[in-house]
Amino acid sequence: MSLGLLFKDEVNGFYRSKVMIALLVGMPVIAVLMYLLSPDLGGMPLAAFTAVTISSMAGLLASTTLSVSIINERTQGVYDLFLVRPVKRSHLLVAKYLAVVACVVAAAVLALLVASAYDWSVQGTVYLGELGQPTLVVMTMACVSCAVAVLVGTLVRSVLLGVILTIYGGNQLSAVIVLTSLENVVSTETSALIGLVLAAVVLASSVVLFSRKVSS
Amino acid sequence: MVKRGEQMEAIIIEDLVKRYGQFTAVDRATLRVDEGTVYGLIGPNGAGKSTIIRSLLGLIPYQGGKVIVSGTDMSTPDAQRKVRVGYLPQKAAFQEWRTCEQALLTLGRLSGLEGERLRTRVDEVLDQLGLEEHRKRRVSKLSGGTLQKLGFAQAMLHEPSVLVLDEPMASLDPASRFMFKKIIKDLRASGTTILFSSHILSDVEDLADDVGLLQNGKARYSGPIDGLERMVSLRSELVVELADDRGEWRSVSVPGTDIRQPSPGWLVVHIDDAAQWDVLASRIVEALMKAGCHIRAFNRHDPKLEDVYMAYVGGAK
Repeated sequence: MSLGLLFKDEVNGFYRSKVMIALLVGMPVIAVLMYLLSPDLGGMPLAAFTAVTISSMAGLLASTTLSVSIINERTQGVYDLFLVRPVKRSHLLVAKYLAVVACVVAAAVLALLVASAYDWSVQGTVYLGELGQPTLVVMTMACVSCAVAVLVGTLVRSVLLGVILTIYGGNQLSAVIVLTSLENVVSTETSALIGLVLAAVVLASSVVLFSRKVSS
Repeated sequence: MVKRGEQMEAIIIEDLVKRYGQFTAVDRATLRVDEGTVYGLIGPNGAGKSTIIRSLLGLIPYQGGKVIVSGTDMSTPDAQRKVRVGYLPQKAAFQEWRTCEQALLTLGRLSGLEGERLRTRVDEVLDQLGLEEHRKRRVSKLSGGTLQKLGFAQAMLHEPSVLVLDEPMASLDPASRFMFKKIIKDLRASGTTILFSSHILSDVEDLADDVGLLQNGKARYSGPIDGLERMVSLRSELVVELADDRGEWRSVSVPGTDIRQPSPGWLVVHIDDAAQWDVLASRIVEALMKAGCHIRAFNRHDPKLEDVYMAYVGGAK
């Protein structure tokens, strides 16, 4: 019961945050600007270009926000008020993680739809079939980097250190996973599966560590 | 609930040991809190008050002993499901994007409140703590005192049978302290067991039925305040103010009393046997007047909890 309640609550909080505004408005705007300003994209549709842009930006923004939020809430003692109630420690972290990933995916899908609408208005065609793989890449990167962000948030007390570790740890790790498909070592689907398994392992480790530390 | 004599015990802390690495924060502390009473936890900084409170709530693990709240062992995984405990930390913190109302609604739902009952309780606690005007205000915009009030609101929102307050009034203005004290007295009257830590000893004296004195992680005393007073054997004093002090008092001698002059114009008379107080006090005053002292005022000074605390912690015992 508490997981559903906490998830809804976290989505509500993240949805209202400035980061979500950046994701919902900023990402499509930056994608469009970069698209228009880039001299030669070889006829690449905006939707495909947007997918590439957001795959690198969305996970970065979301994971950094996630780790900072966990570090702040943990060190300020926000979780104590939850933990004296019938709330599982694991639910606190999992709800936060799922909420952020869900918001990132929602923002990414929205950005792709806006870009596709632009392509349709300009070229009269939509490349929806070609958006499947970029969307999978965005999801994989978001899942991996956000899982690392949760781990960092659980272990670290300094916000600055947390941000550095999240950026270099989370995003580099997620990029490495995705590169295996871009370099045709494995298929995009396989790389996504590896990413999801890795994210699950990192998240589970965070939950165990958070429960052992006990004190928020 | 465990029975001690006629009284049920709501909180039992027995031989609690908590270590941080090599440092022992709590060293075999034993405290018992009767149901429906107010228990004040006092002690110097670093004595282990907050550590005991956090162990009691299951927020931190401990290395030895047991903690039982309302008959439930708090080290069991689902203890929070069985016991309705309210907790106000030293500095109440909430997710900053929430409004006061949202914070209370979420924490209320997590405590098992729903629908109309939840709405009613939120309205009640906001009103009780004077937070109605802040209902829609974001937590990040609140002052420290208002945040503490919101913390108290969430602690009593679900009408817990045991309320644990860690330095609840440390950051409050006098009016808010008065309000907190009134609410604590009202909750006690309704049967809630309250354990609170405080550095403000007058608050402890005003509110607590029993006290626990902690020092260096050890529980030095647990029981009624007057028992603590007896342990440090502080006596009541007769304080005399002289209008024109020319030292005449030096010739006065009444058996069973001891006259001292802490500062010019003031005398402090210790009376050894408290049972003889009424007789000896009037004899002293009479003897002083006979000796030629001009007495402007005299007053009985009973040892306050602060005196007892200072005598104990300061090393008198």
